[in-house]
Amino acid sequence: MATGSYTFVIVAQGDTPVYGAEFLAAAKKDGQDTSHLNQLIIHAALDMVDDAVWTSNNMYLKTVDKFNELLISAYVTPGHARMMVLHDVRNEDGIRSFLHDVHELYVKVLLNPFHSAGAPIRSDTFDARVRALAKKYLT
Amino acid sequence: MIYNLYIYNKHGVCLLYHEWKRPNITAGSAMADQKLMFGFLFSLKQVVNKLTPDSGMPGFHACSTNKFKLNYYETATGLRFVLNTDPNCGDMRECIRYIYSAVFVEYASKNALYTAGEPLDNEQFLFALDKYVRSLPAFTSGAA
Amino acid sequence: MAAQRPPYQRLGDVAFSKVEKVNAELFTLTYGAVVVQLLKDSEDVEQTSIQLEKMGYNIGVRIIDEFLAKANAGTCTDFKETGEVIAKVAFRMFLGVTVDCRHVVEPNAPADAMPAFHLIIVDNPLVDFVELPEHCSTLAYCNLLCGVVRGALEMVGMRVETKLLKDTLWGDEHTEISVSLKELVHEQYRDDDE
Repeated sequence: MATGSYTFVIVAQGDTPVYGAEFLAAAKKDGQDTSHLNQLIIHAALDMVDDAVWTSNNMYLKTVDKFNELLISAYVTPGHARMMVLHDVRNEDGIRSFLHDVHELYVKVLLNPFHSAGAPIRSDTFDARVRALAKKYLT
Repeated sequence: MIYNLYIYNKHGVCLLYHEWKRPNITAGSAMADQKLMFGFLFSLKQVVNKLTPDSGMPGFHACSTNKFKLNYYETATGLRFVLNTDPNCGDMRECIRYIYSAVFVEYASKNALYTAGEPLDNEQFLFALDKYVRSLPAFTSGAA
Repeated sequence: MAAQRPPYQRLGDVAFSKVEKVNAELFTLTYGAVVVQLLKDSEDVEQTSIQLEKMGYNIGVRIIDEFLAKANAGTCTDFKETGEVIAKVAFRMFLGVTVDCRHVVEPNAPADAMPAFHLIIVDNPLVDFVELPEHCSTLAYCNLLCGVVRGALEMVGMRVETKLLKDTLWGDEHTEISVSLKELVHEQYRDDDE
């Protein structure tokens, strides 16, 4: 499986980002901080996601946008939380499984009575589990 | 034949007195009648405790005269049920247990609006109680 | 006599099969919503814990009659047995889980010391999905259970003290409640004439 860099963001309904994480390939840590740029690209792709939602019956929308070599894949939950991955390598199956499993984790977070809808996810457990999934599917 | 039912809580407060048929008319107030009954139970219990050999489980189930029978059931929470019947009714303890579990628990304990220690005047409670007691074979037996 | 009785485990299963069931998630989420609302209203973690215990107490004083009427647990001869019945029959009947009961003996307690036991709940249905956020990490989320046990035992003449010792939400591996007997209350009567 190709190793690449991934930026993962969950945007809740109302366009509030609630969770973000970066999984960088070891080789690519060249000191250039591109997270700002990545966030911008993802933000720009939100509209594309909103368009793509209505063209598919699936929650996984595959690649919805491109920026130079960077690709953006998205997954939209029935509650219209958008989970987006910015990646520089093709890894469709891995991303599909990753997003599917993250969705399950996300549902569990929503079930926590202390979590209010649309609030940022600060849970360490959630973070750790997402990173474990990333390790499993995105390396 | 079933005459009447008393329910007391553990502090001796009469939560319910219900009468289907009373063979004699009480002199004095209902309140005095209820207190008399509780006093009787209280004293009887003391006697029973004293008479019970070793430290076994004392407790009495019923006592009867040639004219009536007093059936008694006490729960661990201190609720006391007294069901008076005619002397030929047989063992009524199962019936009282049923009143406890299917009527009292369902319509008083589980009723969030019922405060413990208050008189039971809930209509559903009374309806369920009346329906059950009237369905007992003992209710009509001996009604000559 | 005691050996001939059916084990409490089985008694608990029978009681559980007789009671009405409710969807576990509905129950867990309802409880969660109640706790969070309490926390929002009082804005104080300590107060919320106390309030949960009080709510539990009010449940306990009612639930005991249901338990006595439906579970057929018989009469307990000592406090140790009470612990077993709570763990194996009552928890099974009302929460669907079995709980372990560990009897505690203080190492150098006097012979007439009041007995105590710990209830160990491994699979606590109340805490599914729940994760305590940092600002209320000391919240005794399951304090309701302490109250229920206290209320129920008080109605059968045992004044006890209950405390949530461990909780999975605090990072422990199970929920643990200590129940220690303080006083056996004997019946008292009020007489209006006096």
